[in-house]
Amino acid sequence: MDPDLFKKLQAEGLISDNAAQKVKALEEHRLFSLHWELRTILYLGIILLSGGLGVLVYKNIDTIGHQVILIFIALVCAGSFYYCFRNKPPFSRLQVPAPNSFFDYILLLGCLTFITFIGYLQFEYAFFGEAYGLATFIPMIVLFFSAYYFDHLGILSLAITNLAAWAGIAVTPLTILRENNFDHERLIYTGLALGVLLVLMGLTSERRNFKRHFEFTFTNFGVHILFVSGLAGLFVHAHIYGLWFSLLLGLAYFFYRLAIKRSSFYFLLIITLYTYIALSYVVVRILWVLVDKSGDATPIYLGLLYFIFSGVGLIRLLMYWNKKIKAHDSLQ
Amino acid sequence: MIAYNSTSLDNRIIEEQTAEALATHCITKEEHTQIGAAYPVPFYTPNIFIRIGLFILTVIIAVFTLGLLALLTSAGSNSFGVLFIFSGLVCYGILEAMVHSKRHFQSGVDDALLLMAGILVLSGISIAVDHLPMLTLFLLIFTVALYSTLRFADQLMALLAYAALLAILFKAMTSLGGLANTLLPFLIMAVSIAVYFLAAALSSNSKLRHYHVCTTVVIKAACLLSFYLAGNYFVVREAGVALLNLPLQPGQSLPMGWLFWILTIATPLFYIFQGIRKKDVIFLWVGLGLIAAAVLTIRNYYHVLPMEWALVLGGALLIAVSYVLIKHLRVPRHGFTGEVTDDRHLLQSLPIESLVIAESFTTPPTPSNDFRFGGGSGGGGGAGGQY
Repeated sequence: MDPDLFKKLQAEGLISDNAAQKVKALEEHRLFSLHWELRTILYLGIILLSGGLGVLVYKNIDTIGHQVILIFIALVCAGSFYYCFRNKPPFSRLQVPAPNSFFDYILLLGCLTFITFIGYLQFEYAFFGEAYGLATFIPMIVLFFSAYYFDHLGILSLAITNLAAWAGIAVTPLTILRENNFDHERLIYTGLALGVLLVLMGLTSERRNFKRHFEFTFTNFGVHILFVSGLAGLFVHAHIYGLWFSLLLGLAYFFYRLAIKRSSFYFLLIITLYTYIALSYVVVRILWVLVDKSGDATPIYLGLLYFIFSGVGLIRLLMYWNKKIKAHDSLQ
Repeated sequence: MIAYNSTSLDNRIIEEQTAEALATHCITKEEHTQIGAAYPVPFYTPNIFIRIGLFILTVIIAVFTLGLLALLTSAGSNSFGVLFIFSGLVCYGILEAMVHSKRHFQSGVDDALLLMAGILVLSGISIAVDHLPMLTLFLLIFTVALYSTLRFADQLMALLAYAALLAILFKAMTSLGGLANTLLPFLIMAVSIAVYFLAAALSSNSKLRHYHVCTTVVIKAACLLSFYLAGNYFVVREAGVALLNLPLQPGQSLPMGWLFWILTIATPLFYIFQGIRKKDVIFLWVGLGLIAAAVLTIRNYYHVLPMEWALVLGGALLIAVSYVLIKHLRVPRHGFTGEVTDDRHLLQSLPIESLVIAESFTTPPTPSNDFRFGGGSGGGGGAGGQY
């Protein structure tokens, strides 16, 4: 803020003397924050160190032995969680700020080493045998617990990713998994179910006011998984694409309502782009059939015109939404 | 020269500043609305996500319109160039119209149109003219980018103009050959310094205030970067071998190699020092980034340590440094802090503020009505919905 500008505004009688003084005092005591610089260096250091240690261990695996490494990882993990339990702020349904600047990193370290530990056990010793589901289920539980108990958005994202992995593995029969032949149908329906679950989790955390700030992360994952699954369904099920297109339109409507309610420009953009992909796919498909039938180039022109006019239409729509949400904003 | 209304641009700055003052509880909501009425900003600048959407859609429209035109005119490859130039000029015309009548300003539509106009005109020329010399192409890019920067104060175009300027220098000097090749790094360094000081001088000229971001952020960072790259041992040596056919064997050192080694290592340190001394974010960030470049350059020629040990030691060093500094700067020192300076709470978080304010007021300040106790994160309400 430029104190001279506020002095001028004060002279014009637009702001009080008090306000101009406040701006001046604030500018005089403004601090130069090195927060993100220091965090970036710390993060970079952690990446370099862990990468270097990884290579060291890899080169010396014959002399170190797997058990020693496993014990080391377990110790790091246990130590991190011990620290977190000792220093954690009391649990609350609301957002809890971290007690100090290192807490979040140490919790992240604990969670990551836990995943590594389970993965290592399974890879080297096939600890869970062929129960691959269990090998992802356990870390998922731990991650969700940590995210809620210690209030960490990053770990919540990890947990949701793990949930998706677990759901994907759990629904895929072992024989198919072994043959590396992924069943599209099954994965699409799993994706839809998972998306619905995540959106519901988001809505619940909002309604029940239980970790309300997790809502965005849940809904964000949910939106993307739902739309990607829906689009996959649209592309794969060529014969009943009308049905899948209607499903996508339904999704778009639902999230449109949500976006307007939350005044979220981000969700408006996401649903517009996904729905536009779906609509363009359907239009191009229909035109393609027409080309096959008629054999002349008219549908190609129609296709080009479609993109031009739909683009103009969507621009108008986005501008209208921008105005609508902004007008809504000023009411608050 | 600038396409936008000068008063509107000034009002936009006022709007930004008063919004900050409102967020830090320096002024009241009523004052903010009052200022908004006195200094209106008539620009159409939508939310950033809407801007992204408008950008994508504008590019789609432009590309498919071009496709339609190409089909309709059944253009052969000869007339493609003309078609591209024509479409580029049409894009530019629409852009001017949008800026003038619809008052678009950083709306996504204007960003996309400017970019499309530049790409179409330049690629049209290089298609239409056979064997266009590189130097001419760079000159054209420079002209177009410089014009766009001056007309629309566009940051991307400013960066492009600077890059094109360096490319022109490079091309012109290398075509001279001989001594010019040897002097090339020094010339680029000299130009970087010259442009840096020119930008600094221009940024303090109040007539050019609308280009403030271009000169103080984009050009400044680009100058710092190009100065370093022109003096970096790796860049000078490998570019010399690859582009100028410098007769160097692998492992053979560059003439005056010591000078470039000094520049490689000292420049980032100087940038960081300068960044700390002047509290300058641009110097600091460029310097920090270039430390990595310096380390990689050294490792490329001298394998002092095996890779993994270098990683372990480097990582441990970085962690130690940041740990110590974070601990040290928990309390603000010398005007620095390791914590986030959330301006929304700055006024409340610094006890010194209240002292200063209390001292300078004859009557004790009464808390404004919208001041909420315990609402440490109360100001964040607006951000919640704007993802």
